[in-house]
Amino acid sequence: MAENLKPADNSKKSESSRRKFFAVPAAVGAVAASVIKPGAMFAAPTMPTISIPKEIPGTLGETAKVGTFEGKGMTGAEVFAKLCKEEELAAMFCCPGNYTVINAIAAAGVPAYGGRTEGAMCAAADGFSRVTGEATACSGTEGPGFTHMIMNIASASAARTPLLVLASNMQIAGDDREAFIQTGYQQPITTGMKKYGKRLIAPDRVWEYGAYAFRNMKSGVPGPVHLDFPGEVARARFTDPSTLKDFYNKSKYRSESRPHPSNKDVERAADMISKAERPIIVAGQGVFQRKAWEALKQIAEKQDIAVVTSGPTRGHFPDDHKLSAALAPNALMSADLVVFIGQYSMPSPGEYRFSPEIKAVRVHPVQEDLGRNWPLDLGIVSDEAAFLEALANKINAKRRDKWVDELAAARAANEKQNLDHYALGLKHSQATDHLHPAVMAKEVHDFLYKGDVDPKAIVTGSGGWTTGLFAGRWLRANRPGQGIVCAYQYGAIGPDMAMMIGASAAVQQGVGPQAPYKGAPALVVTSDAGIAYSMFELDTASKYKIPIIAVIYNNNSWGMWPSALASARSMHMYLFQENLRYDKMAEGLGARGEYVRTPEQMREALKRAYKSATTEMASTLINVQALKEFTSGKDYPPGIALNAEPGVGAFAH
Amino acid sequence: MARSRTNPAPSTSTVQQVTDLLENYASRGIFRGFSRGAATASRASYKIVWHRSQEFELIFDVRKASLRMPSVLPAVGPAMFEHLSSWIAEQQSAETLEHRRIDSAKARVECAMRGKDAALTVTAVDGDVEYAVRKLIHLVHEIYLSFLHDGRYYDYLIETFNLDPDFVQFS
Repeated sequence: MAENLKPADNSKKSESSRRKFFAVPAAVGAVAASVIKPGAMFAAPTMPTISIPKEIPGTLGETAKVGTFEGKGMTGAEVFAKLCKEEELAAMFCCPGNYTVINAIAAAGVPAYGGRTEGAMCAAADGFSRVTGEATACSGTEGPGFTHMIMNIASASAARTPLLVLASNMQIAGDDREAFIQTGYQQPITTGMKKYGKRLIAPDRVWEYGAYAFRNMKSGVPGPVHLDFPGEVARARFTDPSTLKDFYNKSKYRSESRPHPSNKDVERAADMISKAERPIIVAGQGVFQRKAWEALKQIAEKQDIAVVTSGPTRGHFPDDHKLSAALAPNALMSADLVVFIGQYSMPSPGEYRFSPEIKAVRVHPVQEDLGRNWPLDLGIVSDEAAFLEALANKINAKRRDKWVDELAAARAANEKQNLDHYALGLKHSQATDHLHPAVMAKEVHDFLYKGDVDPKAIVTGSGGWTTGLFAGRWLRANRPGQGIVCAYQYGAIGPDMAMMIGASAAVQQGVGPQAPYKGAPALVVTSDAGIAYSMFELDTASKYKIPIIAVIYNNNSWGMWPSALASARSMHMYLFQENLRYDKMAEGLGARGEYVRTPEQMREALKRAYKSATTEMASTLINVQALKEFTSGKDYPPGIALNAEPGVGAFAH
Repeated sequence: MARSRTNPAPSTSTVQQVTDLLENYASRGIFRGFSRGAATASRASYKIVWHRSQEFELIFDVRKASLRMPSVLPAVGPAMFEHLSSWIAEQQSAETLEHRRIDSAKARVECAMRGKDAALTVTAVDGDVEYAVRKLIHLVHEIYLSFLHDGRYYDYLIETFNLDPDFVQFS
C-alpha cells in the first residue's frame, strides 16, 4: 500500500478531473471579468490543487513498532495491539477517537485506514472481511463515534462478519456521574447485534479479553465482537508480563479444532443425495469462511449436483459453472433435495424458491441452530470443510444429464429474460435521453465480463433498492470473494460504497482469495439515495489510493417513491432535487467524476474510470442520470422484478 | 370435463387423506398456520396461513373430488387475470417439464374470478386426490414465488400486500 503513495507535488496540476473541478471557479471569474470595467480587475487568485499531504505516505512507510515491557513498558492499548498483531488482524478502519488504542494498533503494523465517518469505516471493515473471510476492526470515539457505527455493526451482525468493534469509553472513575464528555453505556446498545461484547474494566485483564474477542470471531459461526475501552485500561502501564492475567498465546486460549460429522450422518447424507433426482446444495457463507470451495466443486462435479451460493459474499461456487443454479431461477423449483451447508442465516420454507415437497439436509457447526426456521429431514453438526471432505470420500460418481440439461435451459431462459428487459430499457433510454437501470446494469456487465478486463479481476457489490434489484441480475462472481451483497439480510441502504472501498483495500493488499488480483479496482453500483451515506469516503479512497469505480444510479428519489402515490402530502418526503451532480461532488473530494445519460457515454466512462484506476489508482464516480418513473412497470415495462432467492440478485439469507 | 365413470368415486376416507396431506405441509413448515374447519361426509374445509401471511381457505368437495381456493390472489384486474390464466395453462402444457407439469389426464385446473379475487379449483379427474392436492399446493406456491415476481406486478405487490423494503417478504 505504502509504495503506491508518493508525497504530493503541488507544483503540478495533474489529472483532468481536478482541472475540470477547478475550471469552474475560473469560468465564474471569466464571467465576472466581462462585467467589471477595465483597470478595476485583479488577477484571479491561483487555486491550490487537491493533494495528498506528505505525512500520509510518510507515516505509512514507517517501520512497525510493537510495544515491549522494557523501559516504560506497554500501555493497555499496546498490549491489546500486540494481541491483534499476533492474531493477524487484517485491517482496521477508523476515525480519530479512541486515540490510544488506534494509535497502538497502527503502530503495531496492522494495516490501518482513517476515514471521514465512523459508520462508513465500520462498513469498510465489513467489506474487507466479506471478500477475504478475515477478521477486521473498526473504531470510533465514545458516544458520537460509537453510535454512528450502529447501522453498520448491525449489518455486519446480520452477515456474521468477524468484525472487532472498538470504542473508547471515558473512564471507569466517571461512570454514573455524567462527567463530560460523551459517556454512555455502550454494551447494551449493541445487544442483539454482536456475538460477544465487554466493557473492559480491569486493566490487568486486557489481554485476556482480547483473547475472548478473537476466540469468538474465529470459532464456530463468526460475528461482531464489541470491546469498549475506558481510559484506565487503555492507558494502564505494564512493565512486567506477570502483571497481566492469562497472558499466553493463541495456541492456548483458542483452538483450531472443528466439529467433524459422524460416519453415520455422512452415510445418510450420501444416500439421500444419491437417491435424489435433482439435488441442490445451497453453499452459504460458512463454505467461504472455511475456504471449502474446492471440496464443494469436487462433490458437485462428482454427482452432477446443482449449487447455488447464499450469504453476504458471492463466488465460492462460480456463476459460470454448468452446475451453478445462481443464474437458473426457473430450475430451483425442480430440486427434490436441498443440502444447506454453512447457511448461517436460515430462511423459512417459502422464502426460497423451492418446491413444497423438497427434502432438506442441513450441515452447520452449531447444534442449537439445526431445525431453526426450516424443518429438517437430516441435521448434521459439522464444520463445513470437514463435512465436504468426508462426503467426497463417501459418494460415488453419478451422472444426472437431465438435471444438467434443465439447469442449462433455465440459465438460457434467465438470460433471455434479462436481454428482453434490457431491450425494453434501451427503448425507454432512447425515448427519454435518460438511462434505464436495465441498460446501466448490462453496460456494467459487458464492461466487466465481455471486454478487455479479466472477468475474474474486479470485485463488485451493489446496493439501493431499484438499483440493487437490476444490478444484482447482471453482476457475476466467478471466483471466491468476487462479489458482495452489500444490503445482505439487514437491508441497509447506504453502506455500499464504503463497504466496497474496504473490499478494494483488501484487493490492493492481496489478502486471501484476492491475492491473484492485487491492484484491481473494485466496482459498486448503488443509488443516489445510498451514496449519501458514504460519499465522503471518496476522500479516504483517494488519499490511500484505493481505487473504486462507483456507478451511481441517479433517479432523483428514494427507490420506494411509489409507496407515496396513494397517500396525501407524502411524495415530497421521497424526492430529492432533480439532476443533482454527484460527479461534481466526487471531483471536489479528489476523485474523478463522470456524467452519463446514454449507453455510449456509459461505456466510455467505464473505460476511462478503469484506466485511471489501474494507472493512477484513482477513484471515479459515474453519475448515471435517470428518471424515477422507470420504476413503474405500467409506464415503463418491465418495472421492478423481484429476484429469486437464492441466486444472483438475492439479498436475504 | 366430468370425472371418468371408470374411476371409483372418492370415499369419505379421502377427507382424512386430504387432511393428512395438508397437515404434512404444515408440519414441514410450508404453511405458517393450518387448521381443519367443519367437515361433513361430502365436504371439508381448511384454513391455511401461508404466503404473505394471508389466510387461504381451501374447500374439498368429496363427491366432485375437487379442491377449491376461493381467493388465491386478491384484487386482480382483467389483464392480470388473463396473464394468470395463460400462466396456469403453461403449467399444463407439454412444454413444461414432466416433473413440473400438471397432467391434464389426472387433474383439471380452473381459474376463475370470484368478485375481485382469483379463485382456483383443481379436480382429480382420475380419482387421485393426492395428486390433485399436491398440484394445487405447488401451483399456489409458484404463483407467489414466480408469477408475482414479474416486474409488472411490482405496483400490485405494493398496493395489495404493502410491499416495501422494510417489509420484504419473498413469499
